[in-house]
Amino acid sequence: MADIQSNSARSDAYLSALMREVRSIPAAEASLTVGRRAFFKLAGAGAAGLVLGFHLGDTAFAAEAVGGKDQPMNAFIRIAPDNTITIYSKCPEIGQGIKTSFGVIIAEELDADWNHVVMEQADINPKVYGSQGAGGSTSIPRAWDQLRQAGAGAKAMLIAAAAYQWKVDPSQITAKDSVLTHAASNRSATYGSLAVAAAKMPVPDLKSLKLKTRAEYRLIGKRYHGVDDPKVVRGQPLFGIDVQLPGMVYASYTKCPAAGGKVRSFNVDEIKAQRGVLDAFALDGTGVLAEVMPGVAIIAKDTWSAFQAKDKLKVDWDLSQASKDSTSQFSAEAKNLAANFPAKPDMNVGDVDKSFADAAKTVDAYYEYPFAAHAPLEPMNTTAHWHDGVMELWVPTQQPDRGLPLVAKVAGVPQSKIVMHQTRVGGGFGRRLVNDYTCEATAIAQKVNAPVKLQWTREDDFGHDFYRPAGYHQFKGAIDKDGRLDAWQEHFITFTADGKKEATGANLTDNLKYSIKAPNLRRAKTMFPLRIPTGAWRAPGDNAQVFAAQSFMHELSLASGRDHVEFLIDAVNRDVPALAPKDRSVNFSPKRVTDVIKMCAEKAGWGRKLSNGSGLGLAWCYSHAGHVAQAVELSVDADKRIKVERIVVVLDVGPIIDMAGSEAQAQGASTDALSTAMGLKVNIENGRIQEQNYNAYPILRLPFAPMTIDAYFIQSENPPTGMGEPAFPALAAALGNAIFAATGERVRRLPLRDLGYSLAV
Amino acid sequence: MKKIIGIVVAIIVVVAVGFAGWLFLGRNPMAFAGSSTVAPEDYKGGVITGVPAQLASADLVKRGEYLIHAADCQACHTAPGGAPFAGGFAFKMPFGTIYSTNITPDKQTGIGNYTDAQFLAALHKGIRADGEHLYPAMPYTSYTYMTDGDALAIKAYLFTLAPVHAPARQDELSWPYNQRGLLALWNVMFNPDERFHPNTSQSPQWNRGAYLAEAMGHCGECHTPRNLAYAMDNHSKFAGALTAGWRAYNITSDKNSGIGDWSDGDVYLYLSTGHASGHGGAAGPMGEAADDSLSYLLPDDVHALVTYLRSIPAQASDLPRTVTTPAPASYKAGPAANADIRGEKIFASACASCHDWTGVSPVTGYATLTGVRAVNDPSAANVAQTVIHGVNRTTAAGKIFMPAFGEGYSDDDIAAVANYVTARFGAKGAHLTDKDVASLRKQATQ
Amino acid sequence: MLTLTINGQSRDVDVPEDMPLLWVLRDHLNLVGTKYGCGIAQCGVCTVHVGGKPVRSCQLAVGDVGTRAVVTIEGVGDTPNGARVQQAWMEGSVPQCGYCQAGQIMSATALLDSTPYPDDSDIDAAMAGNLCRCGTYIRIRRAIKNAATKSV
Ligand code: FES
Ligand code: FES
Repeated sequence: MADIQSNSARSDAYLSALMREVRSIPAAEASLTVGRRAFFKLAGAGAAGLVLGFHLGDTAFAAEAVGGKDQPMNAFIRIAPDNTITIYSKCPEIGQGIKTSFGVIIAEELDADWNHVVMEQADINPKVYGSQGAGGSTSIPRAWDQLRQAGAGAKAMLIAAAAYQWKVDPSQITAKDSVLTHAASNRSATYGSLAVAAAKMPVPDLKSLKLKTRAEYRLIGKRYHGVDDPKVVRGQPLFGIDVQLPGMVYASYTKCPAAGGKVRSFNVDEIKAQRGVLDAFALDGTGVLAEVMPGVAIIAKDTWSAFQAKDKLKVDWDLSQASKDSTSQFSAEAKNLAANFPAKPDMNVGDVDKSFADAAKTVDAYYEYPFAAHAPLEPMNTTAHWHDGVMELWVPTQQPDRGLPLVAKVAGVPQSKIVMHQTRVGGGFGRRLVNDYTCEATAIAQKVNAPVKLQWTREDDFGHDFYRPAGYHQFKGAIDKDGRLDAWQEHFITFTADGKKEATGANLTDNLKYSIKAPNLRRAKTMFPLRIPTGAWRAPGDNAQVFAAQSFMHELSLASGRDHVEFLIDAVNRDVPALAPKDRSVNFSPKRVTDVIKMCAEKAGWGRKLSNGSGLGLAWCYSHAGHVAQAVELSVDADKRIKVERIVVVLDVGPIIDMAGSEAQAQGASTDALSTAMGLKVNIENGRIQEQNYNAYPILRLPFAPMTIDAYFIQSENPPTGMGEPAFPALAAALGNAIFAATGERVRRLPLRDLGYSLAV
Repeated sequence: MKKIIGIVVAIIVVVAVGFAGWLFLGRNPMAFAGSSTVAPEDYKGGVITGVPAQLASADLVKRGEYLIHAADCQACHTAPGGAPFAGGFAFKMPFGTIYSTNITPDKQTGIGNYTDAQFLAALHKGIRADGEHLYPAMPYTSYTYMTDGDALAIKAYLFTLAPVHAPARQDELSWPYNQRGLLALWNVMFNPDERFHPNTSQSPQWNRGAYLAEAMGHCGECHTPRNLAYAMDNHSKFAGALTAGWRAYNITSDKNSGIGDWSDGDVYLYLSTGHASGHGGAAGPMGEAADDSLSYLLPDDVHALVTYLRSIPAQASDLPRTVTTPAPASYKAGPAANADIRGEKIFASACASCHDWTGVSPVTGYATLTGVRAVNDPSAANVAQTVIHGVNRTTAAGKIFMPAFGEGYSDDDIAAVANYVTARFGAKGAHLTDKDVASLRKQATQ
Repeated sequence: MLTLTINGQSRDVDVPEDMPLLWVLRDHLNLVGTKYGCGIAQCGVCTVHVGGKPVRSCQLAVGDVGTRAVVTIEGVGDTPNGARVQQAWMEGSVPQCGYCQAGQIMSATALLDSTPYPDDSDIDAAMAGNLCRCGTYIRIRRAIKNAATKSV
C-alpha cells in the first residue's frame, strides 16, 4: 500500500490533502477564512515552500470561494527548500508522453533545472484543474497557454521575492536552471531558498506575464526520456491493474455476450461454492452501455479464483433487448444500397450533375472497412473503495473528468463524495474515453465492504468494447478537361444508435469535409440501426475514412493522367469558399498541407524509377489539428507477400515539445496503422463478437514490423497540437496506393489479409 | 472365336467374383483372429458382453448409461453447441453432407415412438422406423455386433432423457448417393448383420476388448481405411485413414507407423485420459472420443482394449517412425533451420512460448510436441487442424487448452507453420500449400 | 504451502497448485511488475524467468515451478544483462504506454543470456511472442543491440 501511494497509484498525500480541502469548500458559503484554513492546515501538514496553482494557494481559494464561481487552477507547482520542483500533470498518461511534455512546458517558462523536476500525477478535480481528458490529441493544445502561464507566474513571484530581499529592480534579475541571479550585485539564490518568501508575494496579473519566444526556448524541442521510464523498466507499480490495498478483494463482472441482454438468473449456489469465491450477485445496472449494463459480479480472494468461477458461470440471459447485429449482413446490404444515392444530400456544393455531364473522365469506386476493437494491452480495470460515504477510486482512464459525474450518478452521491486517483494507463487508443468499467467497479464496491479491484478478462475486453464502426463509401468523381478534380460525390453508408444521428465515431469527419476541395461536391449518407456500442478509436473517423478518400483520390489522379503529388497539391489549393471551416478555431491550412506533401515526396524520392513489382504510394490527411503526409515504398511478390521497404511520415503539428516522444508517436501511430490495415477486424454474429483474444486478432508482431520509419517535422510558427493521432490516418491509403503502383491491383477493402495480402519477413 | 470370347467372359466373371469376394471378406473386422468362434451362450470364458462385473447388479438405465458412453453415441448425435443427443452433427463426405438425427425420446422428431424391434433394426441393420435405410455414417456395420440386451439398455437410458424437439436437417447428397434404396444392395455386401461371437482361441480379456472396440467403440470407422464402396476395408484393419479432415492414426502393432513401440501403460493412459507423456495428447475427434467415451470406461475394460489392440496384425503405412528426441534449443539449429522462414517467424510469434524451440514445453506436458505423432505425420493434417481449431478439452485432470488460430491466421500462414513444425519436430517436413489448408478447413467445418 | 525462490529470496505461498504463477506473483506476493494481458500465451506481458528460461507465467501452474529459481522484472535488474537491458530501454526511450515493457525486457534479457550479440533474426526469434500495442518495435530492436554492447 505504502509503496503504491508514494509510487503513483495516488499522487502524494500532501496533494490529496490539498485536494480534499478544495473539495470541501462549498462554493456558496465559503469564505476567506475557509480558504486560509486550508492553507494553514496544509502548512501544518508539514508542507513547505511555494505551492502554486494559477494563483497562490491561499488567496486562490479565497478568490475562488468569494467569487463563488469555478476558477480553474491549472497544474500545481511545488518548490521545496531543497530545490526540488514537483509538477503535477493533470491529464492521464496513456503512452502519448503527456506527463513528460507538460513538465517540459512548465519548466521552460519557469526556467527550472529539468534534472530537479519531479513529475506527479494529479488527482481528478475539474473544479481545480479544468479539463483533464486525454483524447483527440487535445491535451497539449488545450493546456499550452495555461501551463506556460503557470510556469511564468511562478517565476515572476520568485523574482519578486528576490527583488524584495535584494532591493533591486526585478527586471535586472535573470533566471536559469532554478537559480535567480542579479549580475550587477553578483548575487544569486536558488528557487528553493526563495520559495517560502515567494509564497507571500502578490499574485502576478496574467496579462503582465511575458511568455518566451521560440528563440528563447532552452527545454522545449529537445529529446526527453519519459519521466516514468525508470519505474516502467523496473516493473514498479504504476498502472491501474497494479493497485493493491490492504484487505482488498477481487471481482470479475460478466455481461451478456450480445449487448443489451439482461440477467434472468444464474447458478448462484454453484458459483458461491467455488474455491476462493466470497460472494456472487447480479446487477441490473443503469442499462446505459457507457455506465453499468446488467451482469453478474463474482467477488473472490484473488483474481484467479474470480476468473475460474467466471468460467463456471451459467447465466440465463433475457435476450429480448439484446443486439442481433451481424457484420456479414451489414456489408451485403451496404453493397446493394451503395448505388442508389439518397434523395436528400447532407451537403451539396456547385452542380455535381453538370460536372459529371461535362467531365473528361468520371470514376466510380466502392470502399469498405470493418469494425475494429481497441485491444489495449492492459485489460479494463478499476479499484474502488466505498468508505465513510465516500467512493474512492483508482482508475486507468482517458477521461476521468467525464467519469466523475457518472460515478456519482451510479453511486448516488454528490461529486464532492468522489475521490478519484489517476493511474498510468496501459494503452488508450480511445477505449478508455468510456468509463463503463469504472462505473461497474463503483456499483460493485457499494455491495462489498472492502476495497475491490474489478478486473476484466481479455475476453471481456474484446467482447465489450466500444468498437470502431465499419463503413462503406460509394464514390463518384469527375476530372475536367484540364485534368483537375471537378466533382466529388460520396454516398456514405454508416450506423446510428439512436435512429437520428450517426453513432459515435460513425460520422464523416469535419477534417475530410475541409480536405476534399472539389468545386462540385455532393454527400449523402444512409444509416443502419446498430445495437453494438461504437466509440472513438485512435483518430476517430479519419482512421478509416482517410483510407477510402485518399485511395479514391489516387484513382482520380490516375484518371487525370497527372502526377499524383501535383494533382493533390492542385486539389487542396482550390478555393471553394463553401468548404472552408466555419469555426475559426479550426487551423486547417492548404499551405501546411502543401508543405508536408512536398517534403514527404522529396524525402521518399518521389518520381524515381522503381524496379518491377515495387511501388511508392503517398497520401495525406488533416487530422486532429495536424497536417500530415505519409509515403510507403514496397514490393509485392507472387504470393501477395508485401515487403515494406520504407515508410516516411512528415508532420506539421507546430513546435515540437519532446522530440524523442514525438518521433515515438509518429512511428508508433504509423506502425499501429500498418498493423490495423493489414490484419485487424472484428466480426459480429447475432450480436456476439467473434474475436475473443489476440489469437484471432493479429496485431503486428516484431518480425513483421518495419526496421525503421522516418519521421520528419515541419515546426511551423503555430501553436503546438497533439501527436497521438495525426500519424495514423494517411498510412493505409499510402499503403494501398503503393500496392497499386507495384501490382496494378487497387485495394478497396480492409483489412488486406482478407484480400490475400500479408507482410513478408 | 466363340471359345475365346467364352474364356474372356469366364475370366472377367472370375475376377469380378473374386474381387467381390475379396471385398466381402474385408467386411469382418475380427477375421484376422481366425474363425474358431462360438455363440455367446456356448462360450466358456465367462460373460464378454454387457457391463463390467462391478455394474452387473446396476439397474437397466445405469447399465445403459455405461454402455452408451462405451458406444460413444453422444459425439455424433450432438451438434456443436446443440442439445446432447438432439442430432444435427454434419458428416462431410466426398459425395455430400449428411446430418445425424435426434435420438432423444421426442415423439415427433426423436425416437420417442421407436419400439424395441425398431431400435434394434436401426442399430443392427441400419433401418429406420419408417423402413428407410440409414447411411453407414451411422456405424451400424459395427453396432451390428452389439447384443440385443446391450442395445436395449442403451435405449432405456435414452428414454430417460428430456425429449428435445429438433427436426432432422436435410441431407445434401448428389445422385446416386441420395438414393437410400441402393443401400439395400450395399448392406448385402457390407453389413455382416450378425452379433458378436467370442473367439475360443483368444483370452476372455481379448474377447472383451474385441467387443468394446468393434461392437461398441467402433474404432474402425475412423481408423480403418475404406474401400471404393466406402465400406471399411479390414484387409488393412486399423492402418489409419483421413476422416473429416483429421487423420486417424495407424493403431496396429507396427513398430514404425503403428503403436507397436508404445508400452501397454502408455496405450492405457492415452485411451483413458487422451494423453500419454512422450506421445502427446489427443485433439479433434480422438479428443472427443477420449472425453465423451473412453474416459468413462472402468480400468478392466481399458486393459481389455489394450490387449485387443496389441493383437492387431502390423500394417506398415506411410507414417514414418516417430522422432522421440527433442529439437535443438536454438532456433538456428535443427532440421527446420532451412525450412520456410515464414513458418519460423510465425512459430516464434504464436507457438514458441508454449511449445519451445525444442518441442518440450516449459509450461505443461500437454504442450510438448516431441514424440507426438501429429508432428511426425508428413501430411500435417492434424497439425493444421489443431492450429486452426485449437484444443479445448475438459478432462478429469482439468482443462487442456490451446487457442484456435483459424480466424486470425491465413491459410498461407497456417501452411507455413505446419510445414515448419513437422520439419522441426517430426521425421519429415510437410509441404502444405494454402489450398491444402483451405480444403482441410472445409472437410472439418461443422 | 509452497516455497518458491523468487528474485533470490525464498517465499512461502499458500495457494492452490494449479494457480498460474502470474497470479501468485501479482495477488499473493505483491510483485505486480509482471502483467496480465491475454491469459493464453499470446501477448508476452507475463514473461518471467524460470530456471533461467523465459516463461509465460500465465501458463505455468505454480505447482509445476518446483525448485527452479524465478526471476521477475523486479529482480532482473540485479543481473548484468537485466541491468544492461533496463539501461538501454531508458536511454532509448522505448516505453510508450509501457504496459508490455516488463515482458519485453524479460524476453530481451533472456536473449542476451543465451546470445550475447544477437542479430536481427535472433531478435525476431526471441521477441516475436511479445506484443506491443503501441508499436515500439523499432526502438525495442535498437535498444537490444545497444544493450549488447553496454558495460555494467
Ligand atoms: S498474459 Fe501471459 S502471454 Fe499474455
Ligand atoms: S508500450 Fe504500450 S503496449 Fe508496448
